[in-house]
Amino acid sequence: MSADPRTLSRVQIARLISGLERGDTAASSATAAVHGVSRVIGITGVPGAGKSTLVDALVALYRLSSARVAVIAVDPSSPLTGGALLGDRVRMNRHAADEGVFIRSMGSRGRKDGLGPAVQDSCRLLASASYDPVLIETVGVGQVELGVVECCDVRVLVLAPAWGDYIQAAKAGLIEMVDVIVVNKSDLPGAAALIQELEQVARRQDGTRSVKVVSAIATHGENGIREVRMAIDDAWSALAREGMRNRRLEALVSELVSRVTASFAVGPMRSAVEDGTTFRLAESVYNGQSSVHEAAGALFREAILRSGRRE
Amino acid sequence: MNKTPIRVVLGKFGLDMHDIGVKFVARGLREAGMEVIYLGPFQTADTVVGAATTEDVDVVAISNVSGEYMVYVPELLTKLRERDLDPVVIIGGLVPDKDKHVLLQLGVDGVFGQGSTLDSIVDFIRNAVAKRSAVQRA
Amino acid sequence: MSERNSASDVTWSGIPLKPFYGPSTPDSNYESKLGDPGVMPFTRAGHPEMYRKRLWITRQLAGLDTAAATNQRLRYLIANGQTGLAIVPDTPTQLGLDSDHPLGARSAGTQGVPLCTVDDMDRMLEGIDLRSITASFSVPGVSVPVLLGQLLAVAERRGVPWSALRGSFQNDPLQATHTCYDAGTPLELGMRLCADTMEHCARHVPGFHPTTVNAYDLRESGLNAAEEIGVAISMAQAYIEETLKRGLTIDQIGPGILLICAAHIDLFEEVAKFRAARRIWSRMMREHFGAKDERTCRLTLAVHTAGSSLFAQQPINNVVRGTVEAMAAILGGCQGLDLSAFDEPVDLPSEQAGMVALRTQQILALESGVANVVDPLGGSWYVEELTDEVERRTLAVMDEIAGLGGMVAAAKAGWLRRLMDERQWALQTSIESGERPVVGVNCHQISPEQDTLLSFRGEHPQPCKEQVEIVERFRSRRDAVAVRSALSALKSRVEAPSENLILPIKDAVEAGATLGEVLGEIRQAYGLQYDPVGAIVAGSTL
Repeated sequence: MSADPRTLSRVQIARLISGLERGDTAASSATAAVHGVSRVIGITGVPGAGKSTLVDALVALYRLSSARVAVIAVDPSSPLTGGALLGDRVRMNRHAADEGVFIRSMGSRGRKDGLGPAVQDSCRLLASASYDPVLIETVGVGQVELGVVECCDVRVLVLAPAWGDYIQAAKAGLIEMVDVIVVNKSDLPGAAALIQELEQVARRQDGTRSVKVVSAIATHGENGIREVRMAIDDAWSALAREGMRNRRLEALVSELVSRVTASFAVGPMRSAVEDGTTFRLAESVYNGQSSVHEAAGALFREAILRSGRRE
Repeated sequence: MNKTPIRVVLGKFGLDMHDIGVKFVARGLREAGMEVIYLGPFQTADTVVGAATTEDVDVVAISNVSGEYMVYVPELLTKLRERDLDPVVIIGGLVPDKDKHVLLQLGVDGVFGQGSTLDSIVDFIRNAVAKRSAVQRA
Repeated sequence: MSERNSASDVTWSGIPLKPFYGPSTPDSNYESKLGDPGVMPFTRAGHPEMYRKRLWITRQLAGLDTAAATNQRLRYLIANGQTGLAIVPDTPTQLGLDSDHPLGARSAGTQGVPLCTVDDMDRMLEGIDLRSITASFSVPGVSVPVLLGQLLAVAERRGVPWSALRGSFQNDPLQATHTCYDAGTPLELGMRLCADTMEHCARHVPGFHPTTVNAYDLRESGLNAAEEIGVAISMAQAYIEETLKRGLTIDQIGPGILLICAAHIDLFEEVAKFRAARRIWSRMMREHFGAKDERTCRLTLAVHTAGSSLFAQQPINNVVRGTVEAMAAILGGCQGLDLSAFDEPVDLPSEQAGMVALRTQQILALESGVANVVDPLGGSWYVEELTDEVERRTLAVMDEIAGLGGMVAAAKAGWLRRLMDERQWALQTSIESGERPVVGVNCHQISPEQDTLLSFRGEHPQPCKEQVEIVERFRSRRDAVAVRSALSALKSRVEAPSENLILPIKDAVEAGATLGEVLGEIRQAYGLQYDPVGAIVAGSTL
């Protein structure tokens, strides 16, 4: 595809994104490899913390100085039915008729890291079409939310008092990986205590990273999130001065690993399960004929062979 | 899960506040394997078309108990056509027979009045979307 | 044509009836758990005589497409002996939008009366003596303080002292939060306006019940009986606590709060629920809030039969359902009752359905004898144990809410939203699957051809263009300078968080500010979007 992405219409971009979600290789080749100058900001956190309300307020703020702002909002797909209730944009209704705001809702469609199958590609597409910033609101279901690490320049974690979110987030190792922690709904009881706790944790970092803890009341709109906006801008400026290259490389490494692991899992590993290969190897371990390590090695070699045949 | 889910934008026009029915439909469509982009109330033709555009949906579904839909629906259909968008459009809720005829004539694909079951809505959507993509491929 | 306004004191066969029946020698258990009707803890009834003295008020809701048309209807009802007027404002008014707002104009006057300006309020009440009527406004959300302001301004114009006004509002921001009626208004602002309204009425408009907590819509969302009253009473607690901060006593605030509950189809459980509600309320008032006046401890219960219990199939069956539910309300001692019309699942009530609803109540009251004795089910082993059990479960719900930091914190954290979504889904699926039997719907059905009234045959009313013109004319005739000045005075009061806003709101509407302009000004001062749906910007209407 040779058209300049900046000339694509919203309809065309939307259709390309659908193609990316379906895995159309033609669509993939249309996306540039890097974000360029666009800021990609990831917002993650558990349900109920008010992520969508926060994103809505951020969009309003950024829109004041930017002609094109994009949001990709990911929600979990049901593993049983494949369906999904994508309800994040309810909170962003005031932007729905604004031609300068592109909001795309995505189901996780089987991915377990908070992203959907086409989040990074869509993000690159939007960035190359001059959308800046691109806000990515990821699923927050308490699992390891490392997806936000894979694709975003600035990473924001949203928590709210009274739900023990801190514990979940700490378990997930997220506290160490983000740039900004927002304590939203900070008018609720327990907010001050949570902020204090988080600031202590943030201080315990090795000194090369600093995590900024801010409070917000996203339902108060732009007024309620000023600290958040400043913290994100500061984090971005710091990266732009130093570290952006490393961060984006880190993200690409992560993405390459995910992609290969995924295709490995989908193709050869699945076929090995389906045709009983894996089961037979398991039996050999169970019957004492081989060790687990030997069986795993054999499975690995078999999977390599199969993926070689597929290419 | 290999099949691409059907994508549906679902909302209510104007100031119609009764959202129990539409939430039930939202959940039901999800259970039927669709991606439901829930817009909620306060929708206008512009906001629905804006959503239908960026979300590249197969279906636009509107649920209304109050009668405002008769003002918004013609605008919606016109704007969709102007943008060259052709999703399946369905209207549900409290729709008298008289309005049903008018809506179908205007170009709405399906109308689901009081007492319509989830199953009938799901079946209709699946068939209508399949027909549309067959036409597009041809 | 004669009117009968009280229940009978003899049975059909002439057996004389006492006002109520109880143990010949009441023990301490009776006194503490039940008490006689009209006595703490009010389990048996709020008043000793109930319907012997006066039957519950029957109101017909009024809200036509303009203030003028509604005025005609109200004067007709008054001429026919009705003094209790139930006024339903249209949806734009409920949401705080003007009749000429881009979205408001498309539904102005279709589901109630538009009360956009002080002139609308004045016109609606033209020729009506404000001292002789009770006006209840079905408005839950932020428009309440503005409508109060309009009413106070109209009373001033007519030289009627505020202390002579009688009526009620819903004024229920926690409920509004969950039904979108508070669009664009965070709970914090809603609570402030609610407490401002309650404070102003407690001090200056004592004949008004400013707050009617809407337990009915909670039930309609699928919550069960204990959750319905547990959540509603917790909401009332939140409003009381907010208003107490203004330096009022519980005895000043308490009597101003009513509950409107559902009457659902399980008759005995509903009776137990009403009795448990009264007991819990009285103990909460006395023990938790330290009420000294018994009137504060007496819960005033209005009841609406459950719309969600009615179905489109074989609609005549809904008459039976309504009757059972009305019986539950009467046996449970409600002070006001609204019966859902049998065609409610498919349509706005027809004349015929409205008449059946009225006659059902009259037949129950005057022919059946169920209203003749207060708390007739009291003393039944079943009903007393059921009352205790409903009370226990209700207290458990209230404890859970208290553990989350109170109803406001629970609402902000999404607790109630999640509960309602869960219950709603479970209820609908249990009906679709047949697990919960509904005659004619999932059992004992008849074929659609044999059935009646399956589709909505009526017509949706058109939005009222005349009202849009009325408001446009109002804008062109008013003194824009005076409006701007009053709005800016309002703004400075908003910015001082301890200022009650009712008087500056009244001044603003008197100067000619519209509903949307007053609320927009307040929202802006809070740093929020001017228009809750984002369709217009500040200043565009001035």
